Amino acid sequence: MNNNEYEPRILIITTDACSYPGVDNAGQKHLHYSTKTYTIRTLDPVIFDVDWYIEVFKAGYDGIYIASCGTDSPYIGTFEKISKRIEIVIKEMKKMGLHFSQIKLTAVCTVCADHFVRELKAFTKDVAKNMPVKVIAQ
Amino acid sequence: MIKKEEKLGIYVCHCGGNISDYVDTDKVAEIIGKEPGVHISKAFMFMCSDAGQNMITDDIKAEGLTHVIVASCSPNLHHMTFQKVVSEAGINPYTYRHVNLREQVSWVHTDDEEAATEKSIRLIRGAIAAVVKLRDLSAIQKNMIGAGGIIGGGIAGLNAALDIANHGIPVHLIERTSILGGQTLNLDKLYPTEVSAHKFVDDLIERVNANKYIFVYLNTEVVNTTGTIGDFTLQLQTNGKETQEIHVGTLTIATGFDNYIPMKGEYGYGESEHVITLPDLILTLNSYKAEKLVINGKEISSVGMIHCVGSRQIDEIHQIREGAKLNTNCSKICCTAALQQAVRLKQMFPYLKIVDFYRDIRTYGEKEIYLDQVAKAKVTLVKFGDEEIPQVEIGEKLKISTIDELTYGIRVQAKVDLIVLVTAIVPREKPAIVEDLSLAIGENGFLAEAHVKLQPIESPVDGIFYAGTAQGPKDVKECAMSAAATSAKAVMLLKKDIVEIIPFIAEVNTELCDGNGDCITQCEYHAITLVDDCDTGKKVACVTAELCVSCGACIPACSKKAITLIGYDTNDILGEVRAMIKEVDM
Repeated sequence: MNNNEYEPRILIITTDACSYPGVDNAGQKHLHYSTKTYTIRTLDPVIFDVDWYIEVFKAGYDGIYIASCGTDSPYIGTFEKISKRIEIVIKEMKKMGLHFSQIKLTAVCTVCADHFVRELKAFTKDVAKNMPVKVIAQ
Repeated sequence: MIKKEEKLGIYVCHCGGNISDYVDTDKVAEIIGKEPGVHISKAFMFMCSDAGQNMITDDIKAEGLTHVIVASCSPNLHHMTFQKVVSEAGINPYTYRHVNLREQVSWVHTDDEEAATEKSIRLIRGAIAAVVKLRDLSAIQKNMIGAGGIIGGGIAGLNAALDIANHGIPVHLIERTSILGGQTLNLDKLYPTEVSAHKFVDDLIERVNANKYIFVYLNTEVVNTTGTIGDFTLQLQTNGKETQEIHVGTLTIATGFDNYIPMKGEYGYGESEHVITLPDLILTLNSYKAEKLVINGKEISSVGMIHCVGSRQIDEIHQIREGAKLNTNCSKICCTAALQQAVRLKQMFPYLKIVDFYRDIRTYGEKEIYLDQVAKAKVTLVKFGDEEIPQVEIGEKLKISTIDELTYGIRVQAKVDLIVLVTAIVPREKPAIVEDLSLAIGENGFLAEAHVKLQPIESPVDGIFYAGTAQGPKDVKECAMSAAATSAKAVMLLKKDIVEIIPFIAEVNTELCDGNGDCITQCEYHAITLVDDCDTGKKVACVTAELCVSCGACIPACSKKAITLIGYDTNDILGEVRAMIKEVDM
C-alpha cells in the first residue's frame, strides 16, 4: 500500500482455540500486514448479534475480518450459526450504504499464518477499494 | 467510564528489544499515563522477570492499584504468570488484562515504528476500557468422584484402564461384547515387531484381571449418561436386561472402529466368493494349516490385492451406498496391513503369485520395512491413479485391469484366483453417550477432539477423553499412545478432591428474562432450562454451570438481551473496540 492510499481500519475477531494462536504465529514468522488492524479475542464469534457488527461499523471501522475456527470449532454448530448471521449483517450493511466486501467470515487455524496474512492483505485492499468513502491524501 | 476510585497500573514491556526495537515503549507508557484512571504507567526491560513481577506486587501494595494491565508478549505465554502475580498481591485474577504487543504489533510491524507505537497505544486503550468492566470472579468448584470410567475394552480401553489403575485409582471398564481385546483379537502379528497379537492382548487382559482397581463389565452397554466433570452417572445394561448405575469423575471413550464392508458388485464383492476383504483373509490365515492355499473350494495360485476400498473416495469416481457420505479420508493403517499380509502369504505359500494394486503406499515411519519385504518377496506392485480405479471382471479367473502409473500409463491386466480388497477403517455407529453429552462428530464421522493440535485427546466437554480408533484410524501402537495420554489427563483430575471450572459461563438477568426459551433452542449442550423465579414466580431461563461450555451461542438469541457470557459481555467488548480507534495525539 503506497502513501497515497487510505489504509482502512480493520477489526479482526479471533477465537481462543484457533485464530488467536494463528495470528500469533504470523508474528512469530515476522510476517507483515497493515498497522490499522486491531485484534480482539473471543471464545467464539457466535456471541455477537447482527446489531453488534453494525455498531462496529458505526464506531468507525471500515472492515470486519472474522477469523473463526470454521468447521473445526470446538463448539457444536456455531460456524453454521455465524454464517447465517453474517448474511443478515450484509443485508443491513447494504441499507447503510456499505459494501458486502467490508466484512469477511473465514477460518484461521493455529498455524495458518501465511494464509491469514495473504487473506487479510487481500481483504484490506478490497475494503479500501469498495468502501463508500475513499480518503486520498492530497 | 472510569470511576474515581479506580487506580490502574499499566506496565509496558521492552521484551529485551523484541518490542522496544520496533515500538517506542517509553512514549507508549508516557501517553498512556495521561489516560483517565491510570495511576501508574511504566516501561520496563522484562516484565516477566522477578524484578518486573516484584515491581507490580510492590505497586499494588504501595499505591493501592485496583487493576493491572501488562502489555508484553502473547497472553498465551504470560497471561497466567501475571494473573498469579496480581492474585498474590490481592487483586482478583479474573480482573487482570494482558495486551499483546510482541506477536501482534512489534513483530508484524518492524518497518514502521511510528505506526506500531500508535497501534500499541490504541490496543492498551482498548484494554483499559475492558479491564474496568471486569468483575471479581471465582472458579466454580465441584467435588470430584475419584473413579474413572472407560467405555470400550479393546486395546485402547485396556491400556487406558491399566494406566489409571496403576495410580491406585478405581476404574470401571465397560465392554459391550463377551470378551476383552476388541478387534486386535482378529489380527495375527503386530507390526513392526511381529509379536503375536493374541499373546499381546492376553498379557494385557491378564494384567487387567489381576488389578484390584479395575472393575470389568462384559456384555454391557452404556444406555444413558448424565452429569458433568467430577460426577458422570452411567446407566449400564448387562445382557440386554439387568441394569445398574455407576458414578465416575472422568470418562474415556474407546469404542473403536468398524471395517468397511464393500457394496455388492464393488470390485466383484458379493458376486464371487473369491473376492474377499483383508480382514477376512487375516482371519482365514490365522487358523490355516495346509500346505496349499484353498479358499472356498478353489486352489489359489495367484492373488490380486486392491488398496483404498472405501477410503479416499472421490465424488463421481467412487460409488457409495444410498444415503452414505463419501469417505475422503485415508485409513492410514491398511497399506501396512496389506503389505504385511502379502509377505505372510509368500512365507506360507512361496509358490503364490501376488499383484498388489495400490494408489499411494503409506507405510509411514518404521512400517517402511514392509515395502522392502514385499519387494524381496517378489510381489508385483502396480500403482493406479486417482481416477483410474482397477476394473474387475468375474470369470473362471478374476481379471483386474488398470493403468499402471509406474510404467508411464501402460494398461495392465492380471488374471488371479483370489482378490483381496484392502478395506477402510470407518467410524462405528455412534454410541448413545455421543447424543447424551452432545459430543461433536467430525466431518469424517469419527469423534472430534476439542482442538486438533492443542487438545488432541480431549473432547470439548470437560472430563471426557478419546482413546484409540473412536477418534480416527490408528494402529495398535498409536492406540496405546493415545490411551496413555488420556489416562495422564484423567489421573490429573481424578487425584483431586475438587475440580475447578473456569467461571466464564452464560448468566441470565432474571429481571429482563421473559422466559420465551429462545436461548434454550440455541444451546446444543442442554445447559439452559426454564425454572420458576423464586421472587416473581415467572418462568425464567437458568444455566447449569457445569454443562455450559461457554460457546456463547445463546447470547444473540435473546431479544431482551437478558443473557450474557461472564467475562465476555458484548457491550463491554464493543466499548473496547470503540476505545481502540479514538484519535491518538502523538
